[in-house]
Parts: sequence; C-alpha cells; structure tokens
Amino acid sequence: MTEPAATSVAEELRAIVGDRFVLERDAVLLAYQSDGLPGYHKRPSLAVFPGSRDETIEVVRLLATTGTSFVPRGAGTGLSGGALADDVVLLGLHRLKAVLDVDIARMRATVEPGVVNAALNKRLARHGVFYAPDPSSEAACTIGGNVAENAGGPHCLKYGVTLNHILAATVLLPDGEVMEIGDRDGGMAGYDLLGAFIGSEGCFGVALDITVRLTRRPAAVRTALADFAHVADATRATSAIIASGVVPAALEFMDNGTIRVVEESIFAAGYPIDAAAILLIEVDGSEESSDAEMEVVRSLCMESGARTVRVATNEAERMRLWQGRKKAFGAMGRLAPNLVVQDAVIPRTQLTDILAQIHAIGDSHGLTVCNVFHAGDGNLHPNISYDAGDPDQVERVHDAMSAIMQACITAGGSITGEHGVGLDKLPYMTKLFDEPTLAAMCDLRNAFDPDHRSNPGKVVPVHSCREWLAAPAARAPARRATDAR
Amino acid sequence: MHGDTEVAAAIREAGAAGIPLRIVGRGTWLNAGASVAAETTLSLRDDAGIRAYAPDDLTVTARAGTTLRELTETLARRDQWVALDPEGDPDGTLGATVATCSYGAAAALFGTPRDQVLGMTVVLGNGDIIRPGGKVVKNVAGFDLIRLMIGAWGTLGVITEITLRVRSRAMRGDSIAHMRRQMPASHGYREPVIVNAKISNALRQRFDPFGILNPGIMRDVE
Ligand SMILES: Cc1cc2nc3c(=O)[nH]c(=O)nc-3n(C[C@H](O)[C@H](O)[C@H](O)COP(=O)(O)OP(=O)(O)OC[C@H]3O[C@@H](n4cnc5c(N)ncnc54)[C@H](O)[C@@H]3O)c2cc1C
Repeated sequence: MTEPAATSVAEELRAIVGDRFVLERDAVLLAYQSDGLPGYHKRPSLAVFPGSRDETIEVVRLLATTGTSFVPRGAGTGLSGGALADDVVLLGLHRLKAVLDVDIARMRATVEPGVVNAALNKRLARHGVFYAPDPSSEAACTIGGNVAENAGGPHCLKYGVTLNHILAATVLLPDGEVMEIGDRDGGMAGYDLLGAFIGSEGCFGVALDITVRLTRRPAAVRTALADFAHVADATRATSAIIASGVVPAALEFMDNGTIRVVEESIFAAGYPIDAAAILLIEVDGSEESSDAEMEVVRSLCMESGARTVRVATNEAERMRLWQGRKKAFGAMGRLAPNLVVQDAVIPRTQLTDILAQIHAIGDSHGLTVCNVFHAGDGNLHPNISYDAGDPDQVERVHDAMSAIMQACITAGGSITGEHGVGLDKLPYMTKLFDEPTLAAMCDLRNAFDPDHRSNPGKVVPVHSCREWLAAPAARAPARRATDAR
Repeated sequence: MHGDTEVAAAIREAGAAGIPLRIVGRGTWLNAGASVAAETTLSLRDDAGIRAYAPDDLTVTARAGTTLRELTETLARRDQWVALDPEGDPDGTLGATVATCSYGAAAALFGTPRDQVLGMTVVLGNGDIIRPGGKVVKNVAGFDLIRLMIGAWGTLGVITEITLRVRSRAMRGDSIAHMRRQMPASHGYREPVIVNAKISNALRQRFDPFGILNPGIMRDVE
C-alpha cells in the first residue's frame, strides 16, 4: 500500500525543529556513531536536536505516533556505549542548556538536561555552594547524562553519587506523556519513581528538567599526595584510612603506568615517576577537622609504608595535583590510538588481591593495564591502550577485560560502579544476576516504556525479558525514521 | 516465616488461592498507613539475624526481621553504626524501616534509608525471589529495583534481607557539618499514597499480579 504523498518522519521532524537540526547524511552522522568508549560504531537512522522543551515533547510525541525508537543523548561522553543509536533515531539534548532556577535559600537548582556539569558549578561558585557529583568528564558531560548513568566521581566517596543529590525531575515518557517525579522540597510520597529513573540509562524516557540538591562549600580543604614503592602498601593505606573512620572527600589511586603517562603528557602534575603507586587524598570540613584528619591520613600512610606524604600548600599546587588525576584518561589516549576504560567494583578489603590478579591477567594477554581509580569506594578503572586496527590486539583486549570482570564478580563485586551497563556490559549481566532478578528489571522498565522504544536493547539482555518475549506478535515492529508513513 | 523459600512458598500459595496478606515485621506500628484489607498475616519476626558483617568493608547484611536494636548493638562493638534512626520502638525491624523508608534526625546529614541500602533479597508477588544490588558501596548494574522497593510499604514485594552501608562512629561532626541538608521534617517516612497513577499501577500489576501484598495500605489520591 503506497500512499501517494508519503511524509517521512524526517520531514515531520524538520517541521518541528528546523532543517538545520535534523541530520541524515553519513558524513555528519559519523560524529554520533560512538560515545566515549571506542570499539563500537552504530549509525543512527537520523539525528534530531530539539532546541526547547516544547520541541522535545513534540518530537517524542511524533516518534510515539509513528512507533519509532530513539536514543536520548547528552554529551556522548558515556563509557558503556549507552548513547549509541543502532539504526534508530538519535535524540540529542545538548541544546537544552538553560539553568532554570537557582534557589540558594532552599539549596536547590533546576536545570535543563543539556546543562554541562562544570558549567552549573561555575554558575554556583559565587554563592559558596556546589553540585557535588563530579565525574572526571565534568567539563563536557551533561546533568541529563549524569542522572541517566547515576554518575559518580572522585568526591562521591564522601558526598555520595548522583542518586543522593537529585530532588526531582520532569520526565517525558516514551509515549509522549510528561510526568513530574520526586519532590523539590525533599518530601517523599508514593513509589520512588525518581530513584528508579536515576541510573535508567535512557531506557525510561527523557529527563526534561532536573532539580538538584546544592551543598555548601566546606570551609577548608587539604589535598595530599602519598607516594608508595609497593602497590600493596598503597592499598593497605587505603584500607587503614577507611577503617579509621576518617571519610576523605576523595581517595584516588594511580599506578606506575598511569603516573608515567600523566607525567609525560601536557598534564604533568609533578607525580613521582618511580613510585609503584600514589594516592591522592583530600579531606575537607572545618579548618580544625581538616588538619586533624589530614594528620590521621598522613600517619596511616606512613605506617603503611609510604615514602612521603606531601600536602599541597596552596591552591595552585592543589589544582595541579588534581589535574593529573582528572586528565589521566586523556593522557592515556596518547599511548595508542584507542583506550578502553573499564569500570568495576569490589569490596574494599580485596583491593590488594584484585590488583595483583589484574596485573597477572594483563601479563598473560601481553597487555599493559593502567589503573587509576576511586580507591575509597573500591571502584576500579583498569584501562588498556590498544590499536583497534589490529584484530589480534582487539581480541586479546576483549579476553583480558572479560577475565578482569569475572575476577571482580568472583571477589563479590559488581560489573559497574558508575559508567553503566549500556551495550558493552550486557553479556556480564547474566553472570551477576539470576533470571528472576533480570526479569524484574524488565518489568520495571516495562512500566515506563512497555514498547522498549527508548534506548532499545540496552542494560538488560532482551532474552531475560519474559513478558517481552511472551507476546512478540502483540507488538508492532519498531519502525525506522526513514520508513514512510 | 523463615527463609526466602518459605516466604516464597507462602506467597505463591496465597497468590494461587487469592488470599490477601498483611506483611508484618514485629508489629510495633500496625496503625501505619491506611488499613490493610487482609485477614492473613505474613510475619517476618522470626526471620531475623545478622548474616554477614564486614567491618573493614563497612557493610552489613541482615534478615528483615532483625531489630534495629540488635543491629545497633552489634555494630557498636566495632564502634560503627548504620544511619537508621526512625522514630518509634528500637525493637522495630530493619525490614519495616526500609519498607516504609522511615527516617530520623540522622537523615539531615546522612540521608534516608534510600541512601543506605546496597543490596536486598525480595520475594515478589508472583513468588519470584530476586537479589538486586550487591555488597559493594557503589553499583549501577541494572535498573534500580532497590530504590523501587524502599518505601513501597510491602506492596511490590516482601523484603527478606538487606545489605547496608556502615559508618564509623569516630567520624568527626565538623568535617560533615556543611553537608547538612534541608529535610521537610526531623523524622518521617515515605507517604503510602499512589501518585503518578499510570506508572504506579503498572508497577503494582507487574510486581503483585494477584493483588495480595498489603492491599489497601497505599491511599489513592489521583
Ligand atoms: C574522560 C572521561 C572521564 C569520565 N569520568 C567519569 C567519572 O569519574 N564518573 C562517572 O560516573 N562517569 C565518568 N565518565 C563517563 C560519562 O562522562 C558519564 O557517564 C556521564 O554521566 C555521561 O554524560 P553525557 O552527557 O555524556 O551522556 P551520554 O554519553 O550522552 O549518554 C549516557 C546515557 O545517558 C542517556 N541520556 C543522556 N541524556 C539523557 C536525558 N536527558 N534523559 C534520559 N537519558 C539521557 C543516554 O541515552 C545514555 O544511555 C567519564 C567519561 C570520560 C570520557
């Protein structure tokens, strides 16, 4: 049945957002074929970039009436392939970047999803408050993406992750309905749909605005670099600090491989290149508590075998210590054309053992694994630089990463602490969770997105979705935007 | 009731027979929420005890019927605590505290139960036993069934086991004073009402297909 003047979805989208903001040509779509994780390339059927909340609602309603699937995307810095659109519509939200309200008296701010994390904090700085979750990608990633991934960051050890800092959100459901969840005033009523939405990786719909909790800046901050000749001494110091009751604002670990890469890059931070490992430790609070806690940290590091503990004496020195950490992934990018940043969590007492295992796995696969991670939470980031053009290397990297993930699962850990499951970690979900648990996750998704049109095929393997599998005939096949209506 | 399989069997049986269940911890707060339309009680009182405590990892796992008193006393021996201090009887259970998301003064600095729970075992209305989360302090693997169950007042599943974040009592107050958050009240719980009816009812249908888990306890407002 061919209708004479079929209007394509693309044409209707153009009518909503304007010609410039619908992309269809291969050459321009290339930029959206990956996110922060190399190795995956998926071509969207087209990309659409609404410029306002109303346009976004219109776009999603159109996609709903045509049964078209879509993938919300913020800045595309995600590290699990979550924002990849495989022949479906890519819905870019970075143009929605208004800070709608800053309410210092009530310690909250409401932002559109495309607001960049660091831009919000820049805006807040003069009020002496901040939005606490600080992914290392803060200069680029969006609050919408942070909410979707339940992002963490170095300072989440003390301050908590995104979940702990979101008060409310307006969500655009995949069927086009707009829904308020949570409570700007901090009240709690009904099922915690906000809690369920945070970390839903774009599968429950689109966050149209987000109200975040603000935190007062501490009066004092102390940052120290502890230098260790043995990895095991650094992990022992980590355990000792955690056990002592001091909760550092951040407790970050970098191994020799990472230190060298950073020091050879333009982000050189003055790290000792002969150290087997360093810890970057920050405490904050009042002047007195910070001095007292730093003294505890210093002596625990020295007792654990640190060669030196150097406390930054001024802000410039402190920022320089942090710069090396925050730019470590970027620096690793210099080693080889591609870098895979892995993310896993283990109980903190297992650090020494797991790092030895990771080292051995790297050796047996002929690969160098660089470790830079949030040691205080046991949140590992083993990274491997490689050349994606070399199939043998690609296979070895893949095998090594699988072995590392399996080791973390065996140690009682998790397959992701902050980067999400996305596409990359789907195969590990069945190793971590049994079938009833995965089926329940599908049921949760089905309440928000019964047709699986929002970010299809991510987070939970489709074969784990009983209800979804039970009635395939009942569903119209999801359409592609290029299909004529 | 004792153990996941026994709870699951009881729920499956009730589901098959269409018998509504009132889910109860130690019954210290039975007038909470709207009145439950059920004659039969499923009590978790005897399903108690600490299953795993890793002081150096700062995590503890306990059965739902464990009293807050027992939890507090066990952790205090290592100078540790969990940030759960709801109003009411210290012999109230951990399961009920989490199921109602009840909080006290500690919430202003440490958050409510929703910010403390790392993992759970839950028996759903269809008798499935699920284990979302884990025993690590940071975890984003999969959709967040844990937050869904916290404060759901037993209507989406019966929580049988909970893993919590543990804190040291030696932590200095003046290092966290600036983190104090505005709370609507000094103590409270998640209101048992149905808001966002479309999604909430879809969840109820999926997680309690026979309508047997604490029916009536959630007020309808929409
Ligand atoms: C160098 C580097 C360092 C990093 N460091 C950290 C770190 O320390 N901690 C950490 O947690 N992560 C880190 N990341 C990962 C990444 O930055 C975070 O996951 C971030 O939250 C993603 O934000 P984004 O805007 O780029 O989202 P995208 O990559 O565009 O999207 C990520 C997911 O969010 C969904 N999404 C985006 N916007 C919305 C919306 N408005 N509504 C619904 N769903 C949406 C997408 O569908 C996708 O599933 C790092 C990445 C890089 C490249």
